[in-house]
Amino acid sequence: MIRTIIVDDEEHCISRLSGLLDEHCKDRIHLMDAFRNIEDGMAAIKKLQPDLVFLDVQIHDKTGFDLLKQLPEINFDVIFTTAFEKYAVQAFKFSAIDYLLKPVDGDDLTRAVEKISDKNSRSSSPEKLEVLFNNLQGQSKRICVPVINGLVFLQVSDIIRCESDINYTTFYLKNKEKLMVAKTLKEFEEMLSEYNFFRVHNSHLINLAYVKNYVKGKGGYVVMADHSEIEVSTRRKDAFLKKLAEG
Amino acid sequence: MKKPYFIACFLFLYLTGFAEQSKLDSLLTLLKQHPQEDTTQINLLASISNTYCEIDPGQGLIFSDKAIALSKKLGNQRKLGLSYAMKGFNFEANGENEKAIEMFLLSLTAHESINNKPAVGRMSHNIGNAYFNVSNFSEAVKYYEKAKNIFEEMKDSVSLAIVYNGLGTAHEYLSNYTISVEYFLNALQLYHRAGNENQNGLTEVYINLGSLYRELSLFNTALSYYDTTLSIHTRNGNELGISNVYNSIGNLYDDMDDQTKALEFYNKSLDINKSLGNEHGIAGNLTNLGVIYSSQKKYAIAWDYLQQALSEFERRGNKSSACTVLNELGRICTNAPDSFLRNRNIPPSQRYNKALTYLKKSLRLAQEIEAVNQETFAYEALIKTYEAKKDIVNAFEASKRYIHLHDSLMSDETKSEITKKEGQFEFDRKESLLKTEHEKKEALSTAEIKRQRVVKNSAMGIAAVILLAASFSFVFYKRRRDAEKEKVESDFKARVSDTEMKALRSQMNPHFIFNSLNSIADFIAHNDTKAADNYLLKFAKVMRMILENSEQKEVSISDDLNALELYMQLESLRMKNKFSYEIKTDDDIDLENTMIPPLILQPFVENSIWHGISKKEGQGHISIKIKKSGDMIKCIVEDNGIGRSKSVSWKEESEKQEKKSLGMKITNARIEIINKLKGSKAGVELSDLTEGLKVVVSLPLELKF
Repeated sequence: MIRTIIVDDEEHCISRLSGLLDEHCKDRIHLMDAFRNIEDGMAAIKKLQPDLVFLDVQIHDKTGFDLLKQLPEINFDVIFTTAFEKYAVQAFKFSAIDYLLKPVDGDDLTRAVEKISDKNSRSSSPEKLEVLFNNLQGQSKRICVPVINGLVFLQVSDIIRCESDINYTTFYLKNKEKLMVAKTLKEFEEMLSEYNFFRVHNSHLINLAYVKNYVKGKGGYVVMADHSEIEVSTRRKDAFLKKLAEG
Repeated sequence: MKKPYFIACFLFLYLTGFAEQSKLDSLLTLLKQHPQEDTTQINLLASISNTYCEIDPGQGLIFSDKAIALSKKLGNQRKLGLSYAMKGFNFEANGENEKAIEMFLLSLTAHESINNKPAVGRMSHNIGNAYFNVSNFSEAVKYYEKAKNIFEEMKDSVSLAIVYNGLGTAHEYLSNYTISVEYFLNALQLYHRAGNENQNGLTEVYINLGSLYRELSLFNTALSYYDTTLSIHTRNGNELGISNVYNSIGNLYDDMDDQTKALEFYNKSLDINKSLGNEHGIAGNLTNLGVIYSSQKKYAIAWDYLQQALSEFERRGNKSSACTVLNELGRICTNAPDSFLRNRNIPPSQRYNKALTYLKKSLRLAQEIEAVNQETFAYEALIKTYEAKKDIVNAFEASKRYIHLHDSLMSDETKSEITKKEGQFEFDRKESLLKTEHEKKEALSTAEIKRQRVVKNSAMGIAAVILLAASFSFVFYKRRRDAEKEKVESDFKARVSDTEMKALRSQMNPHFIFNSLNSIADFIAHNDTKAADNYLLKFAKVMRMILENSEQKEVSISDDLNALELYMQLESLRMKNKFSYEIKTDDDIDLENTMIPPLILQPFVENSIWHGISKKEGQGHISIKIKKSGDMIKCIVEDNGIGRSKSVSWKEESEKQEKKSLGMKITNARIEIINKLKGSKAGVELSDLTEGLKVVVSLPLELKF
């Protein structure tokens, strides 16, 4: 059984989540208690030593991240819950940390709980949390990508470009390494386009910071810092040039 | 190509302070009381030299030399920099620009040796000005940029605005109009941000922008800039400023072919310049007047004016303006009657040789200062003279060069297409901060129009020389111009429509939300909590999707169908499964890569449900099909509801147009915009089925990649 607590400032959210846990995950989850503010949550974590914490992002005027940062060590799994905090969702995606959108869907909840109980290691590793915090603070942007033998943490500024290969994406890095990731290019496009990346072609997402020059043509092509030549799709040309001009 | 004028450009000088004899006297007294050779004495010498600038530069030079010698003796680099600068200012005041540059460069070295950043910045700017004055625009840009970097680093926005203005002017002379506009607008922005304190700086930028707009043939905008400047100068009693505005307004009327008005303003400007003793300004006025008189065949007065102007420009090393004068003198020699030439000791038989002397000199100067447009003007005049001389061989050679220069201008332009796009975009962005939406569009088009004019006029120029080539090139250029024009227009519409799209979407969302909320209320009132929960979850998902999709102008079909399916699930739930639905897509459509406007089908589905199926007895069905037909995507919504004829609301709609549903109205407007934007034939067709209604929305096939 996974010893679990909930930290959320809204009574109806607690009520809904515990109801759903009771309905869908009774066999796995032992819900010990729920707490309505950061201080109580902190005290409970120290006292009860839970395996899993459902943590709301916005708790009164503080955030669930504040709670985590105050703990000397995080030796439990975290599933964040949030209504529509775009910045937080973006950071979750970057760090591959679990989150649930409110109102919570029973199926989504089951999936998230299964993921935790299936795994031998904890899903919220300190490294993932570090990526999460860095992203939230707008500091060095890092992303966490799943590869064949585990997770790799990448500095966004180290990525020169990404190339799609059906359901896989190959990362080309500054240090000339290549990384194969089992996610579609579309997912990375959504994550990275805010960080000066641009999809110039169906199979290419490039970091504009590494564009050396652009060679004109029907769509033309760009030469990247690693001397690779990337074709620009005719339909993306105008948008690409506009984006380049924006700097 | 436009006639070159003399334009007084506004470049800020760090030399300020009104020269007053009394101030000078007290400084001289102080110097006498201070025989010690120390920094105080250097300061005094420098101040005296500075004060002499406007009274007697000759004396100023003597004092600055003393200051230099003393600074060297004391080994004080800071004061040495100051003293060299003073000497430079005195040379500049005397019109000896080359010598001024030499001094400024020495001053710069001194300041750099002690890493005195503010002084290095100011001095670099002065050097930029001085190079500008001798028409060395690329060097001017180099030093302005140096100053710019320093001021940016120091976050000195006032000095930065001044340098931006200088860069704008220099780039204008180098025909880099988009860069030029950008700098002017940057400067303007800084001044606006700084508030009202810097009226001088502001007027400098205004008048330069006015001239640029004049170049771009936007006469009304130009005139309004000039008027603003004029009223500020009048309020402040700035005579020099007023005279310069008059000269600029003269240029404007000249461009508008109103020679009477142009002469009036040039003369007004000339009167003020004479009373101020502004020799350079006088030379400029005389040039402009001379060119008009020459075109009116009043050769005697034109000749006198131009000769006067020429000697002043030569003395100052203003080669750019000298070219203009020399070209006109060459033209007069070619065209004036024999008697006129005899009176000026030019034997009529020698007229062409005399003209060629002037024109070749102009050509040489133009090449020296790398002013391609001046070079082109010189060749243009040379061709005319060779033709008049019936020297076919040289005429042909000159025309070859002329065409080559034009072509190089053209190919440069094509090469810089990317740069220009960037420029245009920047232009657009910056301008939007300062201007109303309307003016923004106007300005954007002008850059294009200007380009088109160059294209067109160049074709005409060649036509004058080689008739055959002309007809060919004219056809070619005209075709290109038309294509350009169309592109500009469609770009405009894109801009307009983009805004409209956003406005429309913001209407669309509330409409959809309230319909859905109504559904929820209805549902909660009649159903059990379990189903209500399920319904709410789906509603939350739809809302999220709408929020995300509405940020895009277009979304992939697969994303949009997901949202639509959720919407139908919601409605089907609400009506206790009163209807079923199916979604079919053609196999040859790449759903991820094919884009459609977000939620374009939703209003039709809504209509089918609310007006068709809800009133039907028995089970309803909605079928959505996405088909590809040629370069169009057809989205078909079919229902088996009661159809239009029986539906009261449909009848009402046909009777009262204004009662048409908001969703439908917006969809029609959106499709209209898409058509305007893409030149497509998108549309909505409604047709009655034996049972129910069929809606076909045709959209242009739009692939993301």
